[in-house]
Amino acid sequence: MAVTPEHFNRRSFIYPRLVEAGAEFDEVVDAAVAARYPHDAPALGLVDLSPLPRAGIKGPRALEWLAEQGWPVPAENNQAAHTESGGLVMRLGNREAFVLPAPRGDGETVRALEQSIPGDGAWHMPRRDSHAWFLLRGVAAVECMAKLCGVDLRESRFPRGAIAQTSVARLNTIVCRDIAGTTPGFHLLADSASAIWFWDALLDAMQEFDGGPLGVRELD
Amino acid sequence: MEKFSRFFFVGFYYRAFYRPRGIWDYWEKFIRRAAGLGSVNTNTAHCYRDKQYAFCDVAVVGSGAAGLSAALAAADSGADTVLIEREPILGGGLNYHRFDADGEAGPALRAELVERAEHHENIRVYRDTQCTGRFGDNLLALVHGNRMTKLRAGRVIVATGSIGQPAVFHYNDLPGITTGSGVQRLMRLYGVKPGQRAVCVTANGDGYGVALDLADAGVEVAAVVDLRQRPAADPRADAVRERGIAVHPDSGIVHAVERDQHVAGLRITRRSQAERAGAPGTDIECDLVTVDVGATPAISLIAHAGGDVSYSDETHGLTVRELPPGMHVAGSVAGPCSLPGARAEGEAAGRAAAAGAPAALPVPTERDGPANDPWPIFAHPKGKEFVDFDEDLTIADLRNAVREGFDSIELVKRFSTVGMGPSQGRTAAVNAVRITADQLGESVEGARASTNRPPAIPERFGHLAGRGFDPIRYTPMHQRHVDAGATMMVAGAWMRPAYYGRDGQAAVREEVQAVRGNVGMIDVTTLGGLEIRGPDAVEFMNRMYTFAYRKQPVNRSRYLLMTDDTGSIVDDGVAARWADDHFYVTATTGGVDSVYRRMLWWNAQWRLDVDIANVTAAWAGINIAGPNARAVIEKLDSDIDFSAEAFPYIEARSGHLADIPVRVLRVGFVGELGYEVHCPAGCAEALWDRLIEAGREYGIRPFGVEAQRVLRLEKGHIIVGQDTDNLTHPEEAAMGWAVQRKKPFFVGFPALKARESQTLTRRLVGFRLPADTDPLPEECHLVIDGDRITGRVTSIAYSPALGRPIGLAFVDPERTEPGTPFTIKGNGGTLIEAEVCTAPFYDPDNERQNL
Repeated sequence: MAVTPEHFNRRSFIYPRLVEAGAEFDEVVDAAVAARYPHDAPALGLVDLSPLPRAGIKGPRALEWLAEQGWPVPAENNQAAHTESGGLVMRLGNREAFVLPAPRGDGETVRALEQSIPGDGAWHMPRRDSHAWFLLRGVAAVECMAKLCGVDLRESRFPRGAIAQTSVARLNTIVCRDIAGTTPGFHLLADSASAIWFWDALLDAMQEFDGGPLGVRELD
Repeated sequence: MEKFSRFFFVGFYYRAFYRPRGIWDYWEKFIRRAAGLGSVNTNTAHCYRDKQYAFCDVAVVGSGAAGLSAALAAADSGADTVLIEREPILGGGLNYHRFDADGEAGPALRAELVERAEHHENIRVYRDTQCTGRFGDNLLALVHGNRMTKLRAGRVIVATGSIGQPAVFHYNDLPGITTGSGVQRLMRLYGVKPGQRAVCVTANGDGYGVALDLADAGVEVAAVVDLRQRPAADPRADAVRERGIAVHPDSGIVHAVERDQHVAGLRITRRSQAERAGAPGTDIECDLVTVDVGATPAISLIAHAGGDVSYSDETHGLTVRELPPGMHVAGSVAGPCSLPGARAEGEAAGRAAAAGAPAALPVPTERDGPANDPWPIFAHPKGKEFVDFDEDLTIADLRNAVREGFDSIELVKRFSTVGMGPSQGRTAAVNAVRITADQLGESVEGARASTNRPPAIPERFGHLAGRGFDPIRYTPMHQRHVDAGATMMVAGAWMRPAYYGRDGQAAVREEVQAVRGNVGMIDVTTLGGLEIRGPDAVEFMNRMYTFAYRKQPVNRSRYLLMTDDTGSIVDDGVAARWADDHFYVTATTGGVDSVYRRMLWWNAQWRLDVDIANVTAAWAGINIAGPNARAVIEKLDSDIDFSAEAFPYIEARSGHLADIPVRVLRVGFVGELGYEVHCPAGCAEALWDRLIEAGREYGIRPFGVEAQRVLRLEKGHIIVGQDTDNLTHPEEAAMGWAVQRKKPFFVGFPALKARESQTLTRRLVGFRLPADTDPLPEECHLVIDGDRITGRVTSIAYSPALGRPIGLAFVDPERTEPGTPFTIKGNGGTLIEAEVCTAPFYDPDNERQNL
């Protein structure tokens, strides 16, 4: 039987858009993720990773605790480090981190991490629900982002793993340049309630670059 | 028109229409119509325009010999370079200018440089792109197609070249009289033969190049008229003579000859004789006059950046004296310049910019280039020697302006409007500066043209506006509301269901009845949510809110009221305490962002050991309310005991409902047995679905904001921002019960004490109206007492439970006893009698919510 978003309690904030675009879904952890679309992968793709687990940790002991658990905590703020499974530990500040699994990696580990956050100076932040998670990926990603965001995202200035907490299409957004792969990519984490609007605004900006939705199975 | 023109002297309008007062308003429309300024077509089709940011190390504006060389040198040095060209093809003057006798130098160099620039991996080329302005920190506005690009450049190299200047003589505005580069463009870029028989007026070698170009194109060149007494050697001049074209050195222009509103000839004479009245001269028949008497640098971007540009007696033209930081120049924008000179300067500027080295300003007098004539101006007894073609200004107009006392170019500009037309002084400024200085009897050395501001050319409003970005927030259940036929309304940044269906009145009535008599549920996701965690959480809550929280038990909720520095109510909500050091705080939909800001702002000073997190979007909320609410919620699997004994009113629980993590608060906003269920936003639609399913056998109804407003009004609950304004303090809002006065401090407490020592001027009360009142007064209608305004209506609705209209209003604090009548001034001045009554209007003992 085909996997559908509504089969799960947890659903992507934009799943009606994905269904409309003809997405075929995969079950990942406890939700359905758009895996492929009925068209060839576009040159500039937008991947909805919102249903995947992710963990936010905040507080004076957040970074220390995360490091104690064996996660690679970047040495500086606004930097991301690669985890063993290809995920990202994003250091947002001296008291805050945000952990993402690899798009096709083990979300279970991050989910377990999220459930083990102790409180008491290292508090859980509900990032899976507060933030939608999209990956914009393609050679034209930098040029496309320049239509929506005032930060200089050229690789020479914004290398892999760099983070900008900024405004994208007038929405507070965490932008992180993907570390893996050869194709430029940006992880975009923004207000989940504005996810539909954000998804539409991104696709609109992507049009001139032959952009379109991309499934997780279409990521190399 | 010419016969009347002597009446339309400069300043005519100012003098003719300023008296009597107000007469300008009458004449203005006639004058504007006569001026032929056109009209705005308000039916112009809309089109999609947007903006883009761009970044580079070096931006080069202009792609002539200097610009191309600069871009290549910068790119070769490894700089990320942007090359901006106004025309659809690169090359600038290389595309049309004749630098040498055989006309091969330009095309050869162009082929070499353009080929390299277009394929260089470090160069991005913007063609057909106008750089309209330079702003702080080298932000360049680029307009191209339907887009404005905001380019942030590390360094800017201005290689915008220069603009050919007209000579000023009698009838110089006739069609057929144009600049040399103008006809070269017509021929080379557009394939247009510009005339049959031409006279080339020149003061440098360029005019000879134009003559050669014209001859090559099959135009008969009648003569080259050289203003110089002893023309310098130039291979192009030799080539002209070789072709047998007559050359008249040391010439001046007496006037142009007009036939059929077109130039038909040019009368020339010895230069020293040209301005003598009735000077004899030679008439040369022609239908085309080209002018090459000098050029002025295209300095807009340099001026925008604050560079110093003034007149130089050595180059006889406006000259860049000082460059702003981060800006380089190359080529003829820095003064007269030869082709090899432009290349060399471009390369030097490109290398310097890429290296971040200081900019070198070329010394114009040390350069070899087409000279400017110091005074290409030939006054005529009958005038009509135009200095500004846009504004029809002649030599006499400018001299008269100076005589009137406008003794600087800025004043002359404002009085005469010189340079204020579409060409923005590009062809008028230099001659205007010369004439103004001459009339003042001052040296022109160091004189400045009027201030040059962005945009360099007109921009469309559409380009400035770009694409609008107005994020809209949807709750996770949005699709369900739409599917259920909800009429949506805007609530802050959110969309919320106002009611379900299209007939508002009927829908609201039914929704209210469902909650009062059965069970309903409302999406309250938009409520703000904040987590307050840490050892000082209680202390922080006590300082931020008016109530007391130290003794609040775990798993219980408590009302919140927040005042600002002035003691005015700014927000309310509910705090659920999950642990000694953990509060979950709700805030109003519109207020949460400012509440969060206030909390961060205050704690930046207090430094309490507390973490404040805005989790509004992370937690969705569903309020299920009505006598059957418990029966419905108990149908779902849960680790929470929902019985009245285990989970009474005001308590809070966290656990799971239908396998979804939840926080449940028993609150009474609508005054019925109810549960406010908060859950992770990603699971909220599933929970909504499960509750709708569970409630089906009871006929559960989703209800919207409008029904909730009626329900809460029946309970007398205020809405902050609707029933309060920016100055309402708790006593005025009858909320004194929510203020804990035994605390040492909360934000607004000192101000509140001071304000409460003053006489109360208004007080919020409940009121009711007779059942048949029609039409109803509206929110903000005034409460009056004779001719005195004593308050206003803040909320009003028809109460189905009471069968009559009820509301909240500010009234005279002396007249708040239940049963006291007061008057509301309704629409059209109708006076409506209302009666103060106690709130809650419905279920005053709150028995229903305690079930």
